[in-house]
Amino acid sequence: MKAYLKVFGLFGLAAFLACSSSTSSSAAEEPAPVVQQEEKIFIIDRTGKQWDVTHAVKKYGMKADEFQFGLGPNAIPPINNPIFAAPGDPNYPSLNQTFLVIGTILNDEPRAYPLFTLTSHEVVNDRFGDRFVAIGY
Amino acid sequence: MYSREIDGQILTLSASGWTYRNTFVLYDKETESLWYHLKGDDGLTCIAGKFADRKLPELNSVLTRWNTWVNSNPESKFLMNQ
Repeated sequence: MKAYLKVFGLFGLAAFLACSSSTSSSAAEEPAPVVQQEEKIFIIDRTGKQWDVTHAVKKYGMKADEFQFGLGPNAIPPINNPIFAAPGDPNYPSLNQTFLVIGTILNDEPRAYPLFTLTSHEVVNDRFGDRFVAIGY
Repeated sequence: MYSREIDGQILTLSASGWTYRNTFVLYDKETESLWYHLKGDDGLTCIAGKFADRKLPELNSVLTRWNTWVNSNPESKFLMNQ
């Protein structure tokens, strides 16, 4: 969750959005619009959705106007139905390829998640038997 | 990689569309709680919403190259989704 590279997808979208506006070169990087109503603090994303960040601000010292992009919850769809190839399957990658993966072993089952897929989905909701996990990058 | 089980409930995590200090802010579709990997922490913390202050623990995973991974784990499955 800490890499800078993983905002690739967002930067791509941001670049697209910026290109569509002649008045701002980095519209998506502007601080989140912040609304305060009595004791509550909300940030508003590009779809108009309001997010209550009161607790994040008051308990964790986060700054409401340092939330960025606000592309909306459907901009980067997670993978909720992961499909896997096993060794010997026709589309299993050849063993000498060097692309990056996140690898994990749970319940004695090893699985690899390529970064080239994770960067466009951010999250894979997966399960290993009775263990439910999320792979994020 | 993180657990997505809490109090017997299974969460579906997703990007919220927000980043905070170059890190994605996640949310869960079931309760729309916000989840964030606080610096130096070993899991996702619920920073706002129903599960405020609760954690989803980090589970072991490695960032490596496919050839390295598959040579050590020849039975590994591979995510095919595009």
